[in-house]
Amino acid sequence: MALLEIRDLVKTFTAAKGERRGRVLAVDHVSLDVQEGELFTLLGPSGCGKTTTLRSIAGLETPDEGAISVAGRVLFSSKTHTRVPASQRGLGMVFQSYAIWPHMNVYKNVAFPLQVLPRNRRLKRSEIREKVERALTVVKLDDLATRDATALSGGQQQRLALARALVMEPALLLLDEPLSNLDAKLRDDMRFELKRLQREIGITCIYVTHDQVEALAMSNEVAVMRDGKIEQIGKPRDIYEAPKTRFVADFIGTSNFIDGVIEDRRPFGYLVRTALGQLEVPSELQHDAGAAVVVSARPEHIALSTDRNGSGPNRWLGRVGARAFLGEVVDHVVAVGPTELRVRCNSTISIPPETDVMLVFNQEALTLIPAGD
Amino acid sequence: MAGSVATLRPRMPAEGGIVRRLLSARNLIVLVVVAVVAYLGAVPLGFLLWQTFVKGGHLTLANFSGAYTSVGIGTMMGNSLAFAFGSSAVAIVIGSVLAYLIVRTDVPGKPLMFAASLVPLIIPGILHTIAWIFVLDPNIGVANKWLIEPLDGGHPFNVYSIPGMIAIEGLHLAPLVFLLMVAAFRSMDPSLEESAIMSGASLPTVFRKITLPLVRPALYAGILIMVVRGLESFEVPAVVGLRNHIWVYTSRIWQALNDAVPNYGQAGAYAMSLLVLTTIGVLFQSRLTKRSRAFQTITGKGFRPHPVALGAWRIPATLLICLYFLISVVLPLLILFYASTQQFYSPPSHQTLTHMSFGNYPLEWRDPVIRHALVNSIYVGVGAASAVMVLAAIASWLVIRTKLPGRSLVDNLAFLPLTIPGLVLGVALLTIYLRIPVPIYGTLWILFMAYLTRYMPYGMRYASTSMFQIGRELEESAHMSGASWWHTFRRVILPLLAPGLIAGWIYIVIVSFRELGSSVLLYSPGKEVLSIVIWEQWRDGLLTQVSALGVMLIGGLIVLVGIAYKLGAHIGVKEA
Repeated sequence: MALLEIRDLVKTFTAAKGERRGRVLAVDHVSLDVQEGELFTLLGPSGCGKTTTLRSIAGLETPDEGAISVAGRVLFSSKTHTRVPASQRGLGMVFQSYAIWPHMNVYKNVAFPLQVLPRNRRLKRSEIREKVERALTVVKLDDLATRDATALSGGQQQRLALARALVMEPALLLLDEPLSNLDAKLRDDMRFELKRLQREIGITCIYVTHDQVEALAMSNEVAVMRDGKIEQIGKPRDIYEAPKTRFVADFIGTSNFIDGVIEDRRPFGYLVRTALGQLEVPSELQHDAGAAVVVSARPEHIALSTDRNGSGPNRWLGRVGARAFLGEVVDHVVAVGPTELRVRCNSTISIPPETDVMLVFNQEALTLIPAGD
Repeated sequence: MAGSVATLRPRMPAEGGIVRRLLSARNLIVLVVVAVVAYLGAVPLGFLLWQTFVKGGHLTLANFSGAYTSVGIGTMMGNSLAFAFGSSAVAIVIGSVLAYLIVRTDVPGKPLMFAASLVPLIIPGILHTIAWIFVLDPNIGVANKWLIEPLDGGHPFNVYSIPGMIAIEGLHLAPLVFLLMVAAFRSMDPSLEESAIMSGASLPTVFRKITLPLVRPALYAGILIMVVRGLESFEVPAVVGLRNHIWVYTSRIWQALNDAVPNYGQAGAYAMSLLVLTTIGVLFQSRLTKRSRAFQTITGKGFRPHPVALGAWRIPATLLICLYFLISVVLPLLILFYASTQQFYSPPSHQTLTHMSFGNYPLEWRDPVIRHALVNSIYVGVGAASAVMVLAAIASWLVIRTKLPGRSLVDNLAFLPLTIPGLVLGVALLTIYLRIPVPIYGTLWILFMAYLTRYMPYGMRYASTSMFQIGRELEESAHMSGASWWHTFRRVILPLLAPGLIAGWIYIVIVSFRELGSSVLLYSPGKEVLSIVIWEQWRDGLLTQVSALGVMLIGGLIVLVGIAYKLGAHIGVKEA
């Protein structure tokens, strides 16, 4: 059984004044399962409903419909009118702003969740101290316990927020864009740190972010959201390499989208005719001949060659329009007929503009997406 | 970076020479502004000190011993403090509770509350006080006649007492606390409370352990501001307190100067003591405000209101807000209007309500004294507002945009008058212009000087808030386009500052129409302003006429406030 189960979650908000719609659908029939020990990411642009979904799990937002349960305990159900208050759900949460209480020091911030337990479950002072110290040690803040919370750096505040969320030993940890307030270098470090911690403690996490790199690097599973709906759920590699929709392909990384129609079946997929030439694309889905499709080709899955011999599907002629040296890679913009494609080569290959080239598509890495989306 | 700075400054032509450079238009204007600000900020205080402590070329405490040995001085100090702290307590309780309800809960009627918060702006303190006398007077008060006497026959509430003064002043100050606390509650990151809820804390625990400690600095600062305001208040002590000889500092100052032989030294001694008290308050308050800023953790994420659901408490909370609106807005306005329609004042009854007439209005409107006072008020108010905003625009540019040495001194001098109560400023200006041979005593110019000094800090606040919002690059690009300093200021900075300057201008016009504290010491017969006419008519016992004048004045102020709001100005928090 999954640790977190969400069924048909719906949440609407009253629209802002002056908008034509009366209510805005923030979360539109979202269902998902998260297995124990996983780091599950809700990924999407701002306004896609990911934070609302997270806040519904937390109990800070009351959904209109649906059901949420954690470890078999029903936290919310519109059918049975169950709604466990946020303070009794026992979930840990790290806020985007960290929400460190400025009037308490580091120790008191972490001890707070233990101190407000109901009297019959409250721990002895020594036990609280022990737990707080353990939590602070985990996030490497043990030597700053008596410091004022406001005197911490951004990264330290972040770890403090984490320690406070972990001290209750919650079944589920909710993270709302926890890294977005850190600078780039620190964010990279914290990403690994967070992942290491998660794996060491074995805690299940729901992670909300709009940063695809973060999502790919950290998650066991990713749900890409758009307009309140889940577009695709899958392992990071699947999402990246086999996006099911154009939106997913576009949101995660960059991609060239080439419109075409199915011309013929091939053993591993289809032959697609496009205005620029033919492409052989793998696919396990059923398509009829003549169906409109879109081929997604990642820039790094196209090779460039100045040797223009040989032809056939997946080998197109083009002309380099511009190039940009990015350090580890070199980006080229290559014109094929009226269309410009982006091609990423490793830094040993750099072809000057106005050179005629051959584009070679890596067949396995092409993705077929149904058109009309 | 040194190179880029050099290129940003258009080089002066070399042949100009150092003298010409120093006498550039920019430097001259800046010099004049600094001189004026310094004069306005420092001279009254200096003069007051000298006047109070020096007699015949010797340092002396004679004025103080004179002032402090007079009969009833202990009671006066006790009264002052009781009145200030009492009204502060009333205002804090009402204002904070309402602010919490409005910002943090799902109580309805929020527009009602924000309308009520404008009351101190549109009802001048003296009219507010008069209205409350109509309500609470033991003989003619509506509340006493209708409510207290039927319930508890023969024991009317006597408004001419310390509790009565506290109630009226507290009600007048409450909207100010409300606005301060609304700002404090709003600037609090809601996730601070949410994370406490997620930690398992119940709502009362969250309120006690998170919300309250977080707004505590703002609360303390609010208390101090209100205590200072209570100490400075002249209207309530003069209108309510004098009748039963309940003296406080401000009324003592007024009395010392209104004796048959004005005692300037004694007034100065009282003024000095009051100044010390208010300065202590302001200093404490600015320290607290700095600390409360460290508590503010506003995040990039847009503020999403997650109001606390009141549940069963929603109805009592709604009633509370309606009641407050009735008491603080409807009741005073209604009673003033009622009084204005009567020939002689008596509490509303069938007899009086059927004999209402608007006869007082044309009477007041045609009164040449009032006409003259209106013109004077407009002259002085508009003149002072314009002068303040011009000064403030240049001074705030100087403080924020330049690296001139001594610019923080200019800033401090411009804000110094904030600590000076109106009556103290009146005493100071009196002593100056009775001594030095500048013939402005007995003219409107002395009122102009008083308003200019009093409202300079408010002008500075409006101008510098706007100045902060104008990117430095806008100015630099004008320089790069070859514009001179004067051109840049006139064509780039002033137009961008305009909305803030206009808002400040209107605000100062409004508050100067109601200024009484320093006017009452500085005016001379024939040179009255509107607030003085109200004060005099009240002292002459013209209750119904003064009400008609008050209703007209309030109408005019409502129009002005409306215009200010249309211009998008956020007025109200700065003063009342």
